[in-house]
Amino acid sequence: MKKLEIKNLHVSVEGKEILKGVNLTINEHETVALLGPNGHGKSTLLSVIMGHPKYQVTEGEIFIDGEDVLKLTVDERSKKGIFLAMQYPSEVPGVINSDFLRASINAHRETPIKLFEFYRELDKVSKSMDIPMDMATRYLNEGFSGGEKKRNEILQMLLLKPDFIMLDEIDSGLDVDALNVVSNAIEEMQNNNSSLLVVSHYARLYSLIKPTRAVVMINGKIVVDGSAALIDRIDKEGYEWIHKELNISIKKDENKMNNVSIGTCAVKNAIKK
Amino acid sequence: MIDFLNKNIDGISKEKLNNVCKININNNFDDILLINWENLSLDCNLEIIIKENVKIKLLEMGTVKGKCIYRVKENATLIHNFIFLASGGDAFKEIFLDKDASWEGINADLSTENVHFILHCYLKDENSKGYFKLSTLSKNQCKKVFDINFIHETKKTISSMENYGVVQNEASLSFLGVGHIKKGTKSSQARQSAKIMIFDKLCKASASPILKIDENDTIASHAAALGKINDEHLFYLMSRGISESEAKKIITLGYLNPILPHIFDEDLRKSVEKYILERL
Repeated sequence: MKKLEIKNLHVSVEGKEILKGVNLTINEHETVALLGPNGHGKSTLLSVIMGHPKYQVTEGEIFIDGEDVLKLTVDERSKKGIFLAMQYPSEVPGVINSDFLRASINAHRETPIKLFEFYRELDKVSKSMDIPMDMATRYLNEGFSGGEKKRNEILQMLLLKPDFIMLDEIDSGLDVDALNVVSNAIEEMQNNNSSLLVVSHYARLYSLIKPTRAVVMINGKIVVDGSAALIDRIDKEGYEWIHKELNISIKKDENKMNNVSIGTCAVKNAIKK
Repeated sequence: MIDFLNKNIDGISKEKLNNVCKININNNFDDILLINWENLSLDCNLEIIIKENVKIKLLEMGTVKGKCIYRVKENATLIHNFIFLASGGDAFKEIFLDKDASWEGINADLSTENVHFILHCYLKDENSKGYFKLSTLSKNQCKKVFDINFIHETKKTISSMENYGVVQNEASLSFLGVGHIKKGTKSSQARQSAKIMIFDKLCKASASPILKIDENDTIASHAAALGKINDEHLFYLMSRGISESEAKKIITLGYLNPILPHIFDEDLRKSVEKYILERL
């Protein structure tokens, strides 16, 4: 039962402006597809809503049920019901997955969950996600395949039952069976009256979770806000029609590699840049 | 546990030659063999010989001045826990591995004093294997140095070293060590990894795992990482509602806790876990 409002949001990273005045409202129980070419700010928007310290909000506001999100720390945002399933979940060495999951659940409760209750819940959710229980005893995301990481994100979503869920390319790295499992979990959250903001490049996920609306982000702004029919059109025609019909020039993805020799430590620096 | 240094135990023989106390371990022992240096001192160098095909678990609590030598004979296995809970100090260990011998050492160091731990493991014969894993916490004004060395003297030998440390307040922590693959040690493998998490501005930390490779046909790797808590890790945990202080604690425990499954006594494992939580 959450309404998210973003007003004139400007965001920079290392002095470079990525979001250039985003306006977007997501109403209660809505599932909104966030579309757009690579490098135009979709993941940045999701990270900023969650409170990633890398990004500087230079102007604008974000409200959840009227409360100023930008004043909240990352953990406070989570406790307000905001959840981000990440595109690249961190691998945290030495931290056992089940310890992390239990700490996450406890962070949302007044009294800590009893061990038996926790494992019963974890067992139930793991089974629904087709995740073997031994994944809980491994280090957090360390050595997980791409698909395992994504399923672990969704498992956290099911355990925490957030009100406002952001999914950042949750379908990448999933095979067809895993995609069905994940979409069933998303449907469960939709039935639980959660609101969702979903980033994906593939119509397949959207066809399973049936968004109520779709918006398109280009050059750091929401430029189209319409029905779910937008998804099919973009799937068939790409984004070029936006340039033609709305006269918006679409900047190319600027993530270029430096001129370095592959096979040296310089690769790391190049990727960083 | 068998406190064997000052007792007569079947399967263990002792002799003193010149300035060396020699202890021969002739049988397998299901129980853990214990040396508690907190209550002992050495008036000679100590040499422990694990005879052919014998497998033992040896627990050493604390450190002792003087050299300790361990000779692991053909096809024998020494599973070795060094646990420093209270006092620190100096320690000098030499391990010699014969054909098909194996040494698996871990060091859980939570002591509140300075530590200077020097270890040389000589892989003397074919198919000998040496592994070492360290978790250490250096805080307040402690100065801790771990100098762990593997010397590959013949072909088909394997060594691995993983050192993890946390340094806080005004303490210092240094990981040294050389993996030396000598000429003619074909098909040998050496791995070194060192990671230190730095908490405070006045901490000092250094890690310099060195590989000296005189043979082409080998597999070797080394890595060192020093830094504060990873911001992405912190963000990830906090995005699930965990407070910053709790998230930092969980991530730090992740540096130190992986040693726990290697501590073979359950009560001691619980003690070490408790010490880690208290000391952090």
